[in-house]
Amino acid sequence: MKTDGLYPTIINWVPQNFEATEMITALGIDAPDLTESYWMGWIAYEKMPSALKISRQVIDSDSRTMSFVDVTRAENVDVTIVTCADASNASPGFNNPYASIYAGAKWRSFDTIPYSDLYIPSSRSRFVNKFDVNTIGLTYTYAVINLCIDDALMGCAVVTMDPVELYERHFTRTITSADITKLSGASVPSGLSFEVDDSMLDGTLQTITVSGHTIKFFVGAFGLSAFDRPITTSGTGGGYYNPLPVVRLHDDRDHTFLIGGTRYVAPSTIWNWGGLLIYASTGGIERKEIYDAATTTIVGGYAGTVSIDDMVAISSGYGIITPENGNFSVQGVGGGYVMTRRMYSWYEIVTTLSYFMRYNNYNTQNYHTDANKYYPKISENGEFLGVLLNGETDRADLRPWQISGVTIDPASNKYTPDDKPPYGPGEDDDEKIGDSIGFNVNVPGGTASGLYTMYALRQAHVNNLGAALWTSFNSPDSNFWQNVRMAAGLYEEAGSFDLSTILDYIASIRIYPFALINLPGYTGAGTGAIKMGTGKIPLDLSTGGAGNVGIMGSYTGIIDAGSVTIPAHYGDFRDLEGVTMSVYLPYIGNVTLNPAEVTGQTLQATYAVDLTSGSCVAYLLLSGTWGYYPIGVYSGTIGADIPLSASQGNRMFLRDLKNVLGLGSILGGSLSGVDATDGDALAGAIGSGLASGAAYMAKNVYKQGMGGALTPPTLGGGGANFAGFGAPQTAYVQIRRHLYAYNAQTFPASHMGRRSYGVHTLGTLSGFTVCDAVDVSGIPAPADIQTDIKKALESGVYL
Amino acid sequence: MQLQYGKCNSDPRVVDKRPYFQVLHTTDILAKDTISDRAPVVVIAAMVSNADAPACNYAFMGGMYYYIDDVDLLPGGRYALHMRLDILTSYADSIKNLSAVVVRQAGANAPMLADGAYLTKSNIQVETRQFNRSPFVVNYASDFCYVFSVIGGANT
Repeated sequence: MKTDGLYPTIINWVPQNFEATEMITALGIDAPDLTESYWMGWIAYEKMPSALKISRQVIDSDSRTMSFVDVTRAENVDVTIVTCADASNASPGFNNPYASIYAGAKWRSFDTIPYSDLYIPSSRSRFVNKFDVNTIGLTYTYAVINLCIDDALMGCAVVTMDPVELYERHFTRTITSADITKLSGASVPSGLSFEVDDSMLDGTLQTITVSGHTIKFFVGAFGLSAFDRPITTSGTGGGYYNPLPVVRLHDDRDHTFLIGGTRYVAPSTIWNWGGLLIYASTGGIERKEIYDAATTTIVGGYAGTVSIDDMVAISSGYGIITPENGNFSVQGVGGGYVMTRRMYSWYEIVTTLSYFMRYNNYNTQNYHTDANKYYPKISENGEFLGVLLNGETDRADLRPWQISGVTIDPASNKYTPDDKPPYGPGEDDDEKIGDSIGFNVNVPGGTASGLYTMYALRQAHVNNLGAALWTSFNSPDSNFWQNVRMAAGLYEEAGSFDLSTILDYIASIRIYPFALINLPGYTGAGTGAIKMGTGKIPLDLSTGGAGNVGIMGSYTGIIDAGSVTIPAHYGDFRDLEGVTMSVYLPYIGNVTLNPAEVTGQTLQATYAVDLTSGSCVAYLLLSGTWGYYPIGVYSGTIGADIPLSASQGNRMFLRDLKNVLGLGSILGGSLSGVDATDGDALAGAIGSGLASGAAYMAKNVYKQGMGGALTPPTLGGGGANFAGFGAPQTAYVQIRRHLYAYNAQTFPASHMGRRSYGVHTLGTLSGFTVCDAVDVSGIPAPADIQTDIKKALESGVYL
Repeated sequence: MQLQYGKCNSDPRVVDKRPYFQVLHTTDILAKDTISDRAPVVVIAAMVSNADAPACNYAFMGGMYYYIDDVDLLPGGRYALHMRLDILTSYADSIKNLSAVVVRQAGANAPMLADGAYLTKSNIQVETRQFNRSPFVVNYASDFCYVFSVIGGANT
């Protein structure tokens, strides 16, 4: 946990060794099935008896104070979530030299109304506003997504969602250019629109390409707010503040970086933040900066050791965010705004995930504008209503989506009393036995043996290679041919190089759809010149700004092709029955998946590439806390050959040239009568060692070769396997499922109910029920009536 | 013995129809002959006050609940109520105390078991979810994407 000192009341509010079961036992309450779990830093109770009222002990470790939160299970509530957060010191009882305005709120449970408290020292004005609501809802959660666009822009976007969506990890949101707030760097490109979904919740860095822009993002923090936007306070210049911003830092990352606060300025781009403390390390950009929401500018930058403590210290240095004995203050630069919050008192929000209803106008300010959001109705007129819908008293036999006027996605209500979420993304439902697999990334390459060398080239190198092998053939005075002559021993630096193997030394040139420098086997840049064979023929490919070539130190490359989470769509059998799944793997094709195996899991693809042949093997893995579990291995071809060494014409030319030069070397005669004016210097040189007849042949062969009669090596063109380069380059999973009809008019009542196969006391059930193997002998009725009752129960009744 | 009769609009498969039983009339009756507990026929006087008796469909008599299947108008200003025992409501309390293997249930279900009774639409929803990253997005003009393999070379 890296948030010590920042949010002590949130992080440390639950004593680590204080379990619900212990508490229940101590209190002597009969609640054997009560479970307490932690969700997003909050507490969730399941199977809480109706009559149970838990006085939950919470401790503010910073101020050493202890409070109690009453948790009561509402009728028909299956999952009760309790979240405790800060309520600021409502009175300006502390000294802050920078302060111009104090804002705070008290919000104590559902039996009292909340109110806000605003104090302006300069005018000695104090505004206390009741939030005239009789229903408190846990209405709004959000995730702050950190973005890096084209490695040139850093920014963020806020994604909002219902608590249910967050809990179920099932949501999709579209982010457009307008949603992105630039924090530093270049301007936000226009026209961006891309989707983020629950797969981002694990906090891993994700990369997508949108309209030619590479966007890297990860979720930085989650927040909770009771309202979906700040509450306005009249008479204060139209300012806004939200009394309940609760930000929980992502505790699974080292790169957590957001501190949100309340702002007291008119919202413009980020309406809910007093300051953003930013750290990002994406795409080579590493920043630690403070974003001032009041001025929408970056007010500081820093690069150094990464830790939250460092960031707090850094931010303190800028006077923006100040840890004060466990409190923190967010202060604007230049008096733009001031917000100081004390972190020692508590409020609570109790809600449920079972029944969410829609309501509007939940407060007099009516800032709730999205009529499609659903809110739990918690209390009304001081009476805790739990989850019962307005006007509904006994509709337990109906599914929520069958209640008139309420349109709730069935997926939002899959937690019936005996239900628990069957699984969730990343959950380890399946029992994985055995060892986690890994990959060998250290296969010795040719550089180690000296027998075989693989150079990593970029396009400019290839162009230079083509110029050397093609253009130089037509330029007898080129360096290339100087080297050839030198190697052939025709000049003073005679060597033993066998010219016949010039291109025999070239094994292949192949293009791959990934950057070689990212492979584990890449050993860094070599020199500008590549060498072949004994190294007597260096080819300098660094000219024209191409730079040094790289050297691959491994025959293989291991590539992480990313991951995708396949969430449950319905959360029940419908995710498995009648559903087909496939995964498209670039350069391999479509592979069928088993929905039962991958639903609710995270699928990861890793490629192992044979750099000597261009073939690849993709491993499809399920990743989880237990490591990597392979579910399939698939082969394909990922490298495309560029026809160079396979050029028949080239080989013919070399063979003929070799014969001539070899003959000349043997004869060693003078070359009289050779027409050196043809401009064939090499022919002349050759001829100096040849007999006239041989010289003639040499000349003609040479002229044929140099003059174009022979085909020089060619680069480019249509090599094999290039089709894959034009196909989608990102793996994807495709799920085909049936849509389900929940229209009560067309859905026969006799079809109500789903498979149970459990043994139940019928009096505990409600709704349509079909029994099997029911023993009716205990019913005090004649045998024939018992038989009829048994038949009725086995054909279906409504309880 | 007292007879209560009136209306009940509940589905016959509802076990406990008592909350839905609207008693319209109550009268005392006297058995003059053997009465069947499964399908009794009760004759009552037709009066102005119970002129709606032919529209009644549910009754309670002798601790049991009955469907009124038919009503005959007899000579002498009498109604004959042809009743049939509602075994579910009559024994509702006992039924609720039963423990049974439940095959299908609206609430206490096992959500991972396939339910062939679910109604599906014929159209297919196709959901495509991209992997979160691709290593195959490169700049072919500037990245090192070519492997040039030669015999011998670097270490020679």
